[in-house]
Amino acid sequence: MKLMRLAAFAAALPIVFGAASAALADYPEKPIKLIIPYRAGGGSDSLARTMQAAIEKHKLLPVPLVVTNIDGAGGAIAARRVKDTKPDGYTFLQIHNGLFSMVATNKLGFDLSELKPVAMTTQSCIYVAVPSTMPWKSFEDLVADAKANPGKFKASDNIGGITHFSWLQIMKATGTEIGMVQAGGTAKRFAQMKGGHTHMAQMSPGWIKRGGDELRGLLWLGPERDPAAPDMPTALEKGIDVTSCLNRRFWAPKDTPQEAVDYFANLLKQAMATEEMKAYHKKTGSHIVIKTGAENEKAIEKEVAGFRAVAPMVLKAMGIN
Amino acid sequence: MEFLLPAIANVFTPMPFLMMLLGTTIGIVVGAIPGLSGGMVIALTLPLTFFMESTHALILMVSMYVGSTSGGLISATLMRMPGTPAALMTILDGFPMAKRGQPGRALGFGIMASFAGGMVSWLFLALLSPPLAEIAVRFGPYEIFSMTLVALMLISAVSAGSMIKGLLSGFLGILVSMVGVDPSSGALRLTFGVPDLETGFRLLPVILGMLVMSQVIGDIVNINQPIERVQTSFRSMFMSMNDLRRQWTNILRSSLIGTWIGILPGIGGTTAAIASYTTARNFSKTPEKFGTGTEDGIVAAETANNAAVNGALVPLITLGIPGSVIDVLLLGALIIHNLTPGPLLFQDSPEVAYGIIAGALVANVFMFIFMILGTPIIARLMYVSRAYLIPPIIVFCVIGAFAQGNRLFDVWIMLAFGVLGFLMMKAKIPTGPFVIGYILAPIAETQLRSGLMVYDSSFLPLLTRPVSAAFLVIAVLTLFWPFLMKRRKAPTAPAHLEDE
Repeated sequence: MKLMRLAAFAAALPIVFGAASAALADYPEKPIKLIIPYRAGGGSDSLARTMQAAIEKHKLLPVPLVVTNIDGAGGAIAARRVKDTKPDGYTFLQIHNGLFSMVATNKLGFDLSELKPVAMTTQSCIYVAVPSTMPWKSFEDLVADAKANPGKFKASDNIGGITHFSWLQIMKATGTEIGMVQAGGTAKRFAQMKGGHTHMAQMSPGWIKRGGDELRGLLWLGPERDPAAPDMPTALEKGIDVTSCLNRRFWAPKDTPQEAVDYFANLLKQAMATEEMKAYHKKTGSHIVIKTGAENEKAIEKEVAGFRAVAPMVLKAMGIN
Repeated sequence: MEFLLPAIANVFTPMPFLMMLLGTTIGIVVGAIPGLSGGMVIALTLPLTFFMESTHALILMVSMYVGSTSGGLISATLMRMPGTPAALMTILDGFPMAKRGQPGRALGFGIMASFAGGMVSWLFLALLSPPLAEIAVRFGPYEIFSMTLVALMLISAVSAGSMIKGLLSGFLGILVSMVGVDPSSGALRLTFGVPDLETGFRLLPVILGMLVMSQVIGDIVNINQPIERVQTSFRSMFMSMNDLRRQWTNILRSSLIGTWIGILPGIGGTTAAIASYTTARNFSKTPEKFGTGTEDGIVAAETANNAAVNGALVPLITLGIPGSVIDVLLLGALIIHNLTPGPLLFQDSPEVAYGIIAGALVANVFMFIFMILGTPIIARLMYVSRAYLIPPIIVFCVIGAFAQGNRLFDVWIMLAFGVLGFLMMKAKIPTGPFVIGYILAPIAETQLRSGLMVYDSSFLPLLTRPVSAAFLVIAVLTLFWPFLMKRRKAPTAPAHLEDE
């Protein structure tokens, strides 16, 4: 009996405190923490740090925004940490859709509903590139050659990562069989292709410029053609129903008060409107794409479903049954 | 030349210049103080470089590397203790000469030899690296795998004491590197359901624990160890023209040996000094004088260990394979700054690749000037009580381990590896092979598995591709080399030898 009362009391505790914190009269009154699940110096980190500088410069936030890197296990460590923090509106997570690949392959260790989506801000779509030494002038050439020689051609990739998912979607849609070779990030993929060991790779838009004469872009995986490479056709144009973009989103622990979520989403909108953030996106070949609320949730649902559809094949490639 | 001259000029701009001064000075002092080594200070510097420009960070670390390799000769000569492991062979002749009443002359020979070895090997670094990188771009996963295998096999060479203990240490390092995310598939392994282990054992906690904390624990245990000292006077520190004329073949030979051993991945200054010292003795008309305070011995040892520094930078910047334990840390710095070490470094970030080369040159010149001018002061600093040094080092270890991932868990890891490293040293198991195994195993594994993916799961190309096959043969020879050498005369190195 006593135990029961204690349990009831314990159960009531979060309600009482939750209600207290939900009031949030003076939000924000202390520094807000933004967790980056990858190490300093990478794409996620540079977006966060450029944004932090812009927010500070334009005085968009009365309290400091503290960027903290907690890397490891493809971002799962940080996501788990954020899920477990007190939902008081002072901790946010920035992570791209690598999160969904972890959901689809059961690597996240918790359900996605444990996190509350705040907003999407940044999209950088991926494209299929081949070394300019390859004879293929169009994606059709590649597909025809690959169909004639199943398994002969190899793509440098990051197995289990988001481009692995889009490769499997492409192979499924075109009826081709392309061998995946583990390389890692885009710089390493470039090195493998340059050495003549592999024949293609999915690259980030920064490589349109960086790859120079050594890469030839064949297929844009964004929803529509990109101003940086207006001559590159999209997969959708070719009747291949595949899009693959790195979508960067912000999240909060599940029970974070709605006021705080709205406040932070609004802050992100203001930050993205600054010249600094526009310049950053231009420099990295990415685009500001803001989605919040129901629109964001719907997009998330669609992306997760896309990842789930080919997850069994990815797991097989990873050696997990 | 297109990039090299501007890179050298860049070293003389304010910030890099400051890094250079700081790095060389700290390196020399730390190298001279027994109980502190270049590896320790560079490991401790690594987390500080998070917030630096990548070129500055690498110039700082390279100049520390050059400085610490040279500074060791001061304590080797005056205290009969190697301030840094690479100075081990310098004791054999430096200390007897100093004790005989010629400390200035002994130091002078050592300093000049260090400088000469650095300059000759730098030529190889500057001339060899860019064309080598160009060739290396063609190397596929199997070529890199075979080369890494050679480096892993060199573990048996690093552990001059006992091959079994060396291999044990190496395998332990390999095992530790396996925990966490499988680098080829992204799947989790060996985490035993502990979520914190999903990151694996990271570079900084492991290195700081293994190389720094273990040493600190050792220093605490031996805090009252008595130190031998000789009467110091610093007259006649410059080599005369006559000395130079007598030594130039020795300098040239030792530089070549040092550079070559440096280039071989996995081994560095200490092995170079032993090889060059042994060779000099074999070539000498008066081999019996070695070990009694002969100038030839000092020159052979000090030329080679500095030559190995530049030699070891060659595989690091052209292949992304660290040439020694300290190069592992430089590799870590490149990775932390989001640079991809390997053949494309020259193409993607020429300012960094050439910055390292330029830094090595200028640091060598600075080292020479500082050592000539500063040795009397450093000779006094060497006797500073370690009781003052240990607390700040521990603090830096904790901060460094925490900084990489903002996790307290990493601090515990660092402490655990500190204890492990200390126990290993107690058991006379060298920690060098551990670090080499820890760093190289993931490279070897990833490359092998990428190779299997490229060649449709066939191992055959390992043997049919000429470069790969050649390195595999070298790997096998390397493994059995110690057995073949056993029939010959045992090396003269002190038993607790450990490469750095």
